[in-house]
Amino acid sequence: MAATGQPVNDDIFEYVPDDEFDDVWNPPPGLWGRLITVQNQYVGMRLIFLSLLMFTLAGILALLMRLQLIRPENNFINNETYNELFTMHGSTMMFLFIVPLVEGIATLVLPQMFGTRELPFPRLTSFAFWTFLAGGLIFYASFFFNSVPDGGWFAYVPLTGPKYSPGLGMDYWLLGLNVAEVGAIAGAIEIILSFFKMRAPGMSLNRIPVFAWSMVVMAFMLIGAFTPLIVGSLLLEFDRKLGTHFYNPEAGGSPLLWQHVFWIFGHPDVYIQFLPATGIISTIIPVFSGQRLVGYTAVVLALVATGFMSFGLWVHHMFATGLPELSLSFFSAVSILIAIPSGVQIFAWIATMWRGRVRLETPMLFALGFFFIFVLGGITGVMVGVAPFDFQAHDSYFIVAHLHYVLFGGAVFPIFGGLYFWGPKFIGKMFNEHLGKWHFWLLFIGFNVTFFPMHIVGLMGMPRRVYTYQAGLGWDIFNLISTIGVFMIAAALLVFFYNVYRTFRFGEKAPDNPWHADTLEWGTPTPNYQYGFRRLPIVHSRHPLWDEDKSIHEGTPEEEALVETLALWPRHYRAQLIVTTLDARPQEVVRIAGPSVWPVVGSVGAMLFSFFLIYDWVIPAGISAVVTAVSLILWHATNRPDRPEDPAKVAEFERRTGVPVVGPKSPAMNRWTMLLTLGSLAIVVATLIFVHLYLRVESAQWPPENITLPGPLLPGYAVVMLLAGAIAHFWAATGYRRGEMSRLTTGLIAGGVLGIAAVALCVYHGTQLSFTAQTNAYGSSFMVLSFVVLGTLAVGVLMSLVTAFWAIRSDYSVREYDYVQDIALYWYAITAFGLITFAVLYLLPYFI
Amino acid sequence: MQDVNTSFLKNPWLNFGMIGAPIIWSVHFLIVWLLVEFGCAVGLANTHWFGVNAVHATVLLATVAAAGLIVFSGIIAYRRYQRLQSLSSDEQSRFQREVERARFMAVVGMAFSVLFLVVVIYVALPAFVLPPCNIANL
Repeated sequence: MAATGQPVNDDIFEYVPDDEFDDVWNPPPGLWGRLITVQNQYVGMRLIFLSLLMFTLAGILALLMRLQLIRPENNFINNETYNELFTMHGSTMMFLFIVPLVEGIATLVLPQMFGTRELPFPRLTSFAFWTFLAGGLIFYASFFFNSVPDGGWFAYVPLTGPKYSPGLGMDYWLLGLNVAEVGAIAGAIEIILSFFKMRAPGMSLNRIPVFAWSMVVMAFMLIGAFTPLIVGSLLLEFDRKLGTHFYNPEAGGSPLLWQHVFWIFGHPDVYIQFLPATGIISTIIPVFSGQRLVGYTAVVLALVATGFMSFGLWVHHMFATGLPELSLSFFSAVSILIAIPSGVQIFAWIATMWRGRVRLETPMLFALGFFFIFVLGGITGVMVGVAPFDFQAHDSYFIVAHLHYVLFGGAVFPIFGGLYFWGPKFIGKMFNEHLGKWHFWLLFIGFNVTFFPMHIVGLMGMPRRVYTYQAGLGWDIFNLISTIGVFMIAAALLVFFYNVYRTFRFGEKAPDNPWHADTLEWGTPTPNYQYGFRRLPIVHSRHPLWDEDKSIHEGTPEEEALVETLALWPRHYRAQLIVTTLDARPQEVVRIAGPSVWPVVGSVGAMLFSFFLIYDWVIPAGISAVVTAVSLILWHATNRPDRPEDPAKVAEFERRTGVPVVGPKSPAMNRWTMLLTLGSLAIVVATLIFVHLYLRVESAQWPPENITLPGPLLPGYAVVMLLAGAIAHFWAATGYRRGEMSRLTTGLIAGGVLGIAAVALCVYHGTQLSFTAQTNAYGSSFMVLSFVVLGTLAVGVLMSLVTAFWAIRSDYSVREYDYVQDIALYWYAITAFGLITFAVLYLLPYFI
Repeated sequence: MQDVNTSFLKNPWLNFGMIGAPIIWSVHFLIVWLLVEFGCAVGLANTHWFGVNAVHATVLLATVAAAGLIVFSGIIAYRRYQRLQSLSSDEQSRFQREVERARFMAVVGMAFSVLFLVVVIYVALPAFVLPPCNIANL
């Protein structure tokens, strides 16, 4: 079958050999080039190797813990060190291992699986990697500064608050992991935009591979779950550093509030790690069974349903905290029902194997290992979803066994399967099959030897997170067995790393499609070109490499003309096709960004900002923040081609293909990016409103004693101005659509000025209040919520006035001001935020 | 594509039919949980409307509304599906990509409606048997 194929020559768009394409797409030469590269295959590999490094570090910590527990009353490690070890182990595994690893696999695989060339914002991908690295460095720097976090991966307050954790350990935890979480969200945005807008022509919604579906559900969940965690973590840091009282019960705060905010993240996070793994399984099983996935639609449905339902489970981590029985039962019900979509996937996989002919090669072994382990973990999950059982098993080793069966079995096994599966394509060499099988069996047996006894010892009453235990309780033998199992896991990992080393060094060259797989990433030569497909494929089915009789580049005359021409031109910059969301019809040709050092500088700035804040070094932290801000501006400002394209060729390209060439400012991508930004902002505001309302529910009196309810008059005027500002932006956007640039300018200036007036009014109002953020929890949540909403308004003002300035100077062509409609969208959203916040802060207290 | 009205293959109702049910469930879940938390906090536990406890009544009202909306989204998905099935074979082949994709969305929508109808009812069932504001004791 034709792979990328050779583009035909052309009278207007001259044929150039692949080498010239390589020059545009490959990283610049030398070490510097490797540093600033943003190419998805490089960044994806880096994310994978960074995650495996983190996995190894966390594994070593686990090994030390198991050595301590090998026998009763052992004194290998003291209690303080043990607390530090389980905190670092859990936090690393949850934040710095699986999430970056699955994002790494997605970054590596998705563009080629979609039959395209790159992710939409390569510099953002690069930023995601560097921030992950920066977050990990801060987190592990705590060892060198003798400030290792010890409050558990869940960081429950009041234990982690300023009173009971006065050291800097929790600051390392909060600020270090926040940096890494920003990286996670950046990666998620890339996946979402790529899924909806950057696919090969013809890859309509129903033809997208299940792996991609699992990744996009994961990405949405990641934004939905990590954003509240970042907000909650910052509030805890405010409590520790700025004297606010969100979680301080002595001043109206609530320790349970932290548990809510944490588990709103924490439970979906389990599925954030699990769903991509199921996507890998849904890819591996059909390939190694030689059979199409049975029930594609049902599996997609199960993925999306799981994504939604996973946000209705978080309270099952809090069953033992004393909640109303009725609300507790809501969460219990969903905890049980979520087994339905998981079961749908399991049966689809069984049916696929049943109808096919299974080949037991290494990736498939890992898929089968996943089956066995995950089903056990799922069953114990349903058990702990039942509140009365959970009351008994809570905080026991039974839970440790359950969560490892779900996460190790449900995520790590499929991920290893995925690495063996895709490795040959992207490394260009085959893994050693014999070593792969040794890796699997050692890991499978070692895992079960380690964690199965924990079920028993947990039911016998052994609590989790204890650094030692008394002899004679019947726990000794089970702990000994578990420790032996950990050594088997360590041996398995040594085999794996040796296999990786051996493959890079001596591995056999991999064929283009060694597994006879069906998806498009296998349709390119091995090793892969950095641009994936020079001539894009045209998709007609879910299994393009199995179903296409002749060439993967055949389609309608219009689409064939497009892929042929796009293979020749534009060639001085990285050109990428944007398609319609539902049907993957060609929509725009965009220029995506090339190598840049600014994502690296921005990440270093963010790292130093967090590090200096840990030590209250305000001025260096401020300088670091400025460095980050400047690098973000330069990141965009330097996104220009070396030389402009010939306008005549642009016109000819558009005439021939019917697809506009829009340069770096793609209206379609701008719209999606704005919607995602607004979605994230909405989650931030919703979290803060939740915090405010939760504190109100927990308080006997609202506002608390000695605080007068602030009058609504001045903020009411501000809200009216905000509404007027939104109307002005509506006027500007409609003016642009009618081609009236003067209306655009006037509307933006009017809206911006109204926004400034609203901010000024609110700031003045704030100076008149009888409380501050340090007065009590009411003051804390009032001020932070107001500050955030005013901050979003200030950003809106800046966007409008800068754009108006550019429009007055006529800096860009009229077509390039299309994003004014996105600015208008932003104003509608912040107006809604303002109205809701006004109602919550100023009107609601009159009613409840 | 100009001579046949294909707008039904791509319009907001199809999107609602596909993804409406899980969104409605999410809103319902949030509302019933907040109703219980708030209701208990502001003393609704002892208030009765027409002989029904106020917390229970609000949970049930929210559930009836959510169930109704989910059924509505399911009907929309079903009607889209029927419309697709009634296309002539010529239309089906001319718009094959759009038709297959729209059918996929409609099937997913119908299945979502059934699944989330069950979930909404199952989540609300305890309101029939449990007192509204009793704290769970270990």
